[in-house]
Amino acid sequence: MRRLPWRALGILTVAALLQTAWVPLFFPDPGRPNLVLLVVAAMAFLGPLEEGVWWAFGGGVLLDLFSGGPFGGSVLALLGVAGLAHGLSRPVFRGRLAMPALAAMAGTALAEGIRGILLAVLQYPVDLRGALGQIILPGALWNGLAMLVLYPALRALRPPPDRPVWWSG
Amino acid sequence: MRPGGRGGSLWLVLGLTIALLFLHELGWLQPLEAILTVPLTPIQRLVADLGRRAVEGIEFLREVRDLQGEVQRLRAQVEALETENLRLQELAAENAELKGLLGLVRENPQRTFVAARVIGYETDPYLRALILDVGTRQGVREGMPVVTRGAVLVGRIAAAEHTRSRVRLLTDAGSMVGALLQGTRAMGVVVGRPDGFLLLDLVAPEEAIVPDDVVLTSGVGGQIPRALVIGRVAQVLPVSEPFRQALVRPAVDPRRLTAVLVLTGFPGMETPETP
Repeated sequence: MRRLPWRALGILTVAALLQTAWVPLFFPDPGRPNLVLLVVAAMAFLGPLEEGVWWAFGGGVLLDLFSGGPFGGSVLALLGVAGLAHGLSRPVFRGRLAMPALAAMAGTALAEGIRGILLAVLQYPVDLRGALGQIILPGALWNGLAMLVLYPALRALRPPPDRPVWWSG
Repeated sequence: MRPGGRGGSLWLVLGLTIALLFLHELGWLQPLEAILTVPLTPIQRLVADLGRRAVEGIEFLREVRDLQGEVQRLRAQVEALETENLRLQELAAENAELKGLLGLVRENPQRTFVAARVIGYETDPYLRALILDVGTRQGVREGMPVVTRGAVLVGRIAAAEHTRSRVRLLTDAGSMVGALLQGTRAMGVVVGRPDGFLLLDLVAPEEAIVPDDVVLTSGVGGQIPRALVIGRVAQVLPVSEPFRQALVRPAVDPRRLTAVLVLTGFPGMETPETP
C-alpha cells in the first residue's frame, strides 16, 4: 500500500503559499525566485524521475490553485523542470551546489518558455522577445542564486531513499 | 528528687533574676553594667553591622531576585508593547487605506462597491494578477473594475469564483483600457506591458501628449467609469506608427495594496452578460 504524501504535500503547500503571498512583496519585477520550481528541481535532481514527476504535478496544481492562474500551466512547466533537472543529475553532483543551481537556471528557462508558448497558444498576447530579457533571464538568475542558498535545506527535506516512499508503489 | 538538686537550682536562678531586676531598678548595678558594656559595645556594633549588612545583603538578593522578575516582566511588557505597537502601526496604515477607500465611497454615492482584501498574487511571470477574498457570493462579476483610494484604477475582475476573484492588473499584457489625457484631452487606449509600465497607444497623430500629464479612464465601452486615475505619462515615444504612443507609469504599485474596492455598479454601467 502506498504511503500518503503528507510530507511532500506539506513542503509544496508551504512553498506555494509563500510564492503567492510573500515572494511578490519582496522581489520587485523583473524576475523573482520560484520556490515551488526550486523544490521540484531539487527533488528531481536528487531522486528518480518518477519521484520528480509527482513533485512537479503536486507543485504545479498547488501553484495554480493558490495563484488563480490558468490551471495546468504550472504543472506542464514544472514537468519540464523535473525532466531537465533529473537529466542533469549524476550521483557525483548531488552533494555539490553548482549543478543543482545550473539545473534550476536551465529549468527556469525551460519552464518559462513552456508557459510563454502555452499562453501564446491560448491566444494570450505574449511578447516572446521581450520575455527573454524581462522574465526568463532574470527568473533564471534569481532561481540559480536561490538554489545555491536553499539546496542544502531542500536536500535535507527529501525523504531518505532507504525508506519505502509513497511514489514507489 | 534530691533536695537542693535541679529543683533547688531553679529556685536559686529565679531568685537571683528577681534580685537583679530589683537591683537594676534601684540603680545599684549601673557601675557594673558600665564596665561590662565598654568592651561589648564595639563587638555589638560589629555584630550589628554584620547583621545589618547581612540583612541588607539578603534584601539586596531579594531585590535582585525581585528586579530580575521585574526585568523579565518589563521585558515581556516591552515585547508585548512592541508587538502591540507594530500591530497598531499596521492598523494605522490599514486604517488610512480604508479611510481613503471610505472617502472614495462617500464621494461617489451613486456607485456601489464591495470591499475586498488582497490575499495573493499571480505566480506566472507572464501574467499580472491579484487574488481577492470576495467572489460571486458578494456580487462580484467578471469585468468589474477594481479601484483603490484616490479613485485609482487597479484593474478588472478577470474571473470570479464563489468566494474569491482574480483581478487582471492594468500592467498585464492582456489588459486594455480606454484612456483620456487630463491636460490635452487626447484619447487613446492603455495596454499592459511586462516591465510594469503601461503603453498609451492609438492616440491620433494630431493630438498632443505631454510628459507628466495624468492619464484617466475615458469611460468608453461602459464597463469602466470615466475619470478613474490610471497613471502619469512617463515618456513620449518617437512617432513611428500611424498613431502616437507614450509610456505611462501606473498610479499604484499593486504589491503595496492590502485592500481594494470592486466597483459593482455605477451610472451607465453595462451589465456583463452572464452565460
